[in-house]
Amino acid sequence: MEEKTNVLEVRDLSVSYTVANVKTHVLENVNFSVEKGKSVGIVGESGCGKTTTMRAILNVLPSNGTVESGEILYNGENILNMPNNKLQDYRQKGAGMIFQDPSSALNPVISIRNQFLEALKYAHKDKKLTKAQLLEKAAKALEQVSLADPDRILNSYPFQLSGGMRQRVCIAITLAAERQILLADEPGTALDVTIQDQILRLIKSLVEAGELSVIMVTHSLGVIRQVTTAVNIMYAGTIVEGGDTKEVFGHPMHPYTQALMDCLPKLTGNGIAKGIPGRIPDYSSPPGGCRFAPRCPYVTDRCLNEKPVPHETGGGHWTSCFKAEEGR
Amino acid sequence: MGDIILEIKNLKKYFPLADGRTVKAVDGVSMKLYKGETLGLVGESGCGKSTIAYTVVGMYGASGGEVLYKGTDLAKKGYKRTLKQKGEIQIVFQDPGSSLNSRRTIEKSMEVPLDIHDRMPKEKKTERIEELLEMVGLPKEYKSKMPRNIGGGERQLISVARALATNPELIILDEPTSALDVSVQAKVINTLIELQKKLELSYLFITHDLSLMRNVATRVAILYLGRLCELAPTTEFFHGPLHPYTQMLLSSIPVVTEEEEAIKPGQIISQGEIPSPVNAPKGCTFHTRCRDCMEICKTEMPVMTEVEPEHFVCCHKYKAKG
Amino acid sequence: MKAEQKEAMIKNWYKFSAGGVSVIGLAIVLLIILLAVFAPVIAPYPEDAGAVVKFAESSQAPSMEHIMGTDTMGRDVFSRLLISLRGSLLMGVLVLAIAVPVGFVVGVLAGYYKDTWVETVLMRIVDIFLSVPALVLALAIAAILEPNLRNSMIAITIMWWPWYARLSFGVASSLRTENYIVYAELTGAKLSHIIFKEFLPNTFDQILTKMTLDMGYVICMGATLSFVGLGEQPPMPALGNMINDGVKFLPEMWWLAIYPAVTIIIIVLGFNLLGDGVGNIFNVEGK
Repeated sequence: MEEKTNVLEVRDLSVSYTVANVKTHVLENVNFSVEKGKSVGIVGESGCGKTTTMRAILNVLPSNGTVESGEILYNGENILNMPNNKLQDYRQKGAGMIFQDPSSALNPVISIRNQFLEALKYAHKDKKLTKAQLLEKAAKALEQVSLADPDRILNSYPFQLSGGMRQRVCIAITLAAERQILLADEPGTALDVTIQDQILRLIKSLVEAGELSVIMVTHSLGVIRQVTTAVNIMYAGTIVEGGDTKEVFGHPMHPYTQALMDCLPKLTGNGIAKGIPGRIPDYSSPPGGCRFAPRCPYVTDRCLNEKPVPHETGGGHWTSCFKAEEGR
Repeated sequence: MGDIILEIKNLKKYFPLADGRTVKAVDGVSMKLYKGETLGLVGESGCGKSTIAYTVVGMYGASGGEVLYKGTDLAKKGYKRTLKQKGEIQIVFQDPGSSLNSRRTIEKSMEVPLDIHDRMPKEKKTERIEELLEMVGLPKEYKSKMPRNIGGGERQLISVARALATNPELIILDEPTSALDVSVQAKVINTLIELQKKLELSYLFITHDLSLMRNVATRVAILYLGRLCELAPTTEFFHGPLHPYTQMLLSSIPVVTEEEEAIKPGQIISQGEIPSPVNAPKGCTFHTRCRDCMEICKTEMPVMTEVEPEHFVCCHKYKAKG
Repeated sequence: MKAEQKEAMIKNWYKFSAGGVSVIGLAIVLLIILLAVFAPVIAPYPEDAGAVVKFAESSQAPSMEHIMGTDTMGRDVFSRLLISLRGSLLMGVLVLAIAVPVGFVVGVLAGYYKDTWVETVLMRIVDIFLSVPALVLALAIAAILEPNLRNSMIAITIMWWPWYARLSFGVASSLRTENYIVYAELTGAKLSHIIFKEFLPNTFDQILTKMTLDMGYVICMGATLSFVGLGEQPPMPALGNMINDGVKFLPEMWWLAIYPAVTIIIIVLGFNLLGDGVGNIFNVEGK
């Protein structure tokens, strides 16, 4: 069997915030890993803890956030207790990030050329490359993201580029800096659907070519299905279901995933489900058992009192749900 | 088809820029809205869908053309329409954060249309507000809450209830659910559909979400750079999209099931960027991104043609055939 | 509902007291208000606020009978100080009671009609007032009018309203495109509705914060005018004219000038700390 290497591994991560003396337990025992050269999706609705997960991965939690337990391993090292200089290295060379709104990710008054140099100087500082060599890397990366005429792009300022082009530039910076992981936070959500489609195809082709490992965080199930090889469905700070993307979308097991799929308007028509009753729990006193239990149509006493643990259902597909476990 | 409630004829709205150029946000759009139907107005940014909505509701006066509401032209009137017309044509905005005043209770926000259109004593007003809340499926206790204490979907439902206060006939829905999660969107959409049946409302539904329109609209109109590309009854539209842009749009939608994948015109890969509406391409505005581009497309503007009953398309490919 | 209100109050108190010192500010302000209100009762020699001469007791250093000493006319400094607090607070309240509404309406109108002639006219007037140094303007106005307490209030009001116009202008011009404003317009709401029902609640936080901070400054400004003889006229006591009387006898009879001066400092400090706390409740950035 082929050996799997995990570039990034999140183990049992629990994070809490303290607001006005009240502690909110946002993430609870989050587990997932990213294999080298693969793309992993984290999908959930607003307030489910996607952003907190993303911040934890970069170790940039806000000052009122605390990691209660767990570790985040980058090439085997826990980034949560790394010394500062190593952490800096990890952020500059390990993980690159693209955002929902590409216009805020690039400094508007610095030319694209200088933004590349800034990022690359640090990322390649051990190799003592000349400026020309760095720019060569930049030009090559711009070609990789299908931006014709790299010279013109390098000489321009962010406002001279369209939203789609800016998103491509951000990806190119990650590529040129030879970062291993691309953290994509709702990439393309702020873009038009035809442009988003181009960006998603680009990310997918880069992953398939083995250039990048991707962690994609989004609220859009469709985007996840199109791009990623593995998926984690997140609800109220817990991952309720995960596994091979095709498997999960083909046979959603968790009641939350099923309800979410039903709510999505489909191109095939047939109307939309009624929605999921209730709302996400108050994180300051989350339900004692399964966090979805108060909204779940299949809830039992066990769900209310006991926390479900991941249960394999075959095909590299698992879910944390007593219903699936008991075969109901 | 029933009575026509709204007819837009050759509507134009140009915005002058500081440097002397003009943005042709809407450039010659014509369509009809029948009583009791939902017309989905779909397009990407800069296509002019919101401009059409805002012109219909009176935020802008048009640069040219007509907006006939029950036979009266409102195109140039802007805010100067009658109070009755203001009450009959209502709007629900996209952003749930900005549609209610964050410093006033729900009740106070809902009093705004009542005070203007339907003055009544205090107790009757409270009764009416409770009744409106019930119509959108919210408990009447919500009237004393502040907007920040309720969810985005509930805020949108309040906006709908507020719009209903003036007994409207036509409601402009400007991306009412695009800022919401899908589980919340479902509730808002279902409420809108129920209300439409019960009150015989006509909806002009502005959105960029074609999947949503598949489930909500009676007919769908696709806009690109201020012009209509295609207009057809929903079922027909999704089973046989004709315009190359419509096909590209459909094939770009990320979907979640195999059945949906089968509906997409899969071979068409999205290419190119949307040109700026300040200098839209000559001829057919889509020709720069069109894979079927012909010589005539670069010079001559195609016209809307009815290729099948009620199925209109604006493309030289079909004009040649017909 | 009751529980929600209680919770909100606890939360607000938490935010208010988070800085720590705002509680001290609140205590100072409450103390000043109480002293002013009950001045005639508390003052050991209330009759000393007027034209009284008690040569037998003149120019005494602080003692048990006169804890802040007496002035050259033999009047009790502590009593006069207490009585003068009333004029100072009254000035603060009245000046703001007029400057704030005027400034608010002018600013909101200018903000609502941004990019039209209304904005141009109103905001240029505001700018003219703001471009003249505040003290110079107040001095000029007070000097033209007959010097007394009422006219010094008028002078300060005239120089104070433009700040509120500017504040309200900023809020209104950023809110005017909010959908609830657009909705009100589209439904046919009148201008008065938009100004007082939509803009006012949204400007309230910032105005209240600024008002609390400004109370101290207005009182200080009033004292300045009375110091140069353009405020309350002798023999009535005012913080400014008491200092003016006292400086002539520095440093020997230090109690005449030092006590009123320290009082001004404490008043300004108190309102400042309180204002910071109020700003914290509403998340208003310090001015």
